[in-house]
Amino acid sequence: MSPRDVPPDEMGPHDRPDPEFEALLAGGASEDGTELARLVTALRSDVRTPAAEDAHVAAMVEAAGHLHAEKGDPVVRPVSNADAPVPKVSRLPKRRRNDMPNRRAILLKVLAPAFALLMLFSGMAFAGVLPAPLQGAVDQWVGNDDDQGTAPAPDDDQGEDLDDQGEVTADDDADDQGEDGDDQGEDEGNAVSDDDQGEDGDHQGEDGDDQGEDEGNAVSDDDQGEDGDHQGEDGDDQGGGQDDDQGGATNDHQGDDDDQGAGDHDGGDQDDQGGGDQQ
Amino acid sequence: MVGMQVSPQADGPLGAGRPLGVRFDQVVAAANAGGEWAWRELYRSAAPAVDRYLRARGVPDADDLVGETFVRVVRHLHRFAGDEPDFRAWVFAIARNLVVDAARRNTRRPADATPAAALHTLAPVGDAEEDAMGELATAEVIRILSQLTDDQRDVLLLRIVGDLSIAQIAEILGRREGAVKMLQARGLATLRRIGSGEAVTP
Repeated sequence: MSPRDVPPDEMGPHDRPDPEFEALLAGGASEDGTELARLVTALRSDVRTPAAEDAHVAAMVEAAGHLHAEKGDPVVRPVSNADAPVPKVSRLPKRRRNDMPNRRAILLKVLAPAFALLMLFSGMAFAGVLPAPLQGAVDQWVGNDDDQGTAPAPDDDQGEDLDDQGEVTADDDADDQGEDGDDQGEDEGNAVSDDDQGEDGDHQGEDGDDQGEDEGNAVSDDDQGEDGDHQGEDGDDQGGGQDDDQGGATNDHQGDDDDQGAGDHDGGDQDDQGGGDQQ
Repeated sequence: MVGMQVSPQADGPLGAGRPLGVRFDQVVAAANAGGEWAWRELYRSAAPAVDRYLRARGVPDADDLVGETFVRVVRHLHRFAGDEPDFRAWVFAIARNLVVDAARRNTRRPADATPAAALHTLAPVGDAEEDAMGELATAEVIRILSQLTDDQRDVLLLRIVGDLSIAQIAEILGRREGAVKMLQARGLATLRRIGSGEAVTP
């Protein structure tokens, strides 16, 4: 049955198989030797290996050689040229190795400046030339370490108070000295006290001693401006003098009391004098 | 029926190609490893049909194009995956792309292409009489096929010479199978009309 005999509503015009053509493709000969069959036969009969097969294969081998050379593999050579020396092939430049930097060197570069900085600040802290807040923090830190490591609190606390007072008095020295000067001036100008001294020789002597101490304090006040530690020592000395007179409490406490402000301390002396006078 | 799977050349009627059959994978592996013999085997398995396709297509420098086709095969074989029929379809796809590229180049820069009618006057290689008859047949085939559109000609040549299926041709042409079937039907109809009015001498 010819494809033309198939009813058109059963199959699309282009979906219909062409039995004659399919039979020709399958190798079957056309029954009636149609033109189509002759064309198919003509096309298939002249299929032959290209005359330039050797040239083509040589080109393929050469292309394969370039490919392998680019990959770094040995170049393919034809069997006929197997004994020839190995041809030099220009390969792609190999990427230079870029090693990762040594970690030890990196650590050294980072840690060396950090260590140097640490040593610098440690030295400055040891010498006490750090800025005041920083130095205070360092001192406190070191002091805390000492507390934990060695002694019970009272002596160390006292020392801390002394240091702290030294800092405070260093700031307030000028004012304190001025007050002291004023106080001393008041004392010197105070006729009542002179009178009182005159009334009581013992007291006068004490007063004289006290005045001498006050004068010494005046000198020590000058020293206080230069060194807070001296002020504390002076205060202790004054307290010691008073202790001798009063024979009362411990030196430390008096020193502490006196140390709690140079102005107060000096004023206390003046009060003492006044008290002495009153006595 | 139309989409039937055409058997590879090993079972086909073409006698010029040397099908690899079960050795195909081994040959491809050897070619990728750089074996010259493997390249030659691959060439002989497909080059004759490709050469015939190009000559029937009327390509003036078919021989050069065959060589260029297989050089491209070498360059891209490492990316190929499939069996021997797939390899055959892949090679024809490369050849057709080269034909299209050459046609575009000739459109921009017209070359002195040898007319199809003068092909039989070219110097024969091998058996003179056989070559002369072959060229004559080729010239007549080209004359007949030149009355088809390019796509119709491609479909019929790939089916007849390349032994490819409708599906494979659809993939090569970048068309749907239905469109390829339509091209084939119209091409065959044109050939029959030509045959009825003018005898085709193979």
